[in-house]
Amino acid sequence: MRNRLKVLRAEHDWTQEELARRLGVSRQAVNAIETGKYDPSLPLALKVGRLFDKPVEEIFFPDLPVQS
Amino acid sequence: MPATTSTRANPSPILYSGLALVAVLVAHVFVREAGFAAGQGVRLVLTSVLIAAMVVFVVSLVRVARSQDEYHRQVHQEALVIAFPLSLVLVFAVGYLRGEGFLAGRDPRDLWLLLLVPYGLGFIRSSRKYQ
Repeated sequence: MRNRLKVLRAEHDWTQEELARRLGVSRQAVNAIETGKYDPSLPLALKVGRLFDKPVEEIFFPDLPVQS
Repeated sequence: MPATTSTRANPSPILYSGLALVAVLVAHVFVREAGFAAGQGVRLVLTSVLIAAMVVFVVSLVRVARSQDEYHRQVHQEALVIAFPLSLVLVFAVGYLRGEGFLAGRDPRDLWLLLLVPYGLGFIRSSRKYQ
């Protein structure tokens, strides 16, 4: 799943460590989410939305379908 | 109870599991190498210490896992998914090899050490998947 987490974090001038602290997760978790390697759970995604004051749908996007 | 951000926030379970593992290894070697006769009181006490230390080690590992965030729990869970069938294969193979006379000189009490390998492999594989 793609996301705008890195962009939003940069807009607030937060490090990954700072964002992780605000979300209550590890820095590795933030990095994995930003790189698309890990999809957050629903509670965590909602927490991200509340932190940036945006709907979850504006932060996380499904992967583009593969063209056959 | 929400998970802490990382195991750094709660080092005690890691410390306990590390100490317990050291105790297990020391008692494991001491029971075999100290030369006490089987059934002797001292050896039984050491064996009891070994088992108790192993229980502490496992309980501490569970506490470490519970204290981690969802990302690290996912990594460990996927490591177990890989480790469990690998462990089955390993124990199966060791059993049949021993039955055929191979590994005759090896102490069967060392098998638990081998079972750490599948988990290590699983952890490496799942860590790389999410990095």
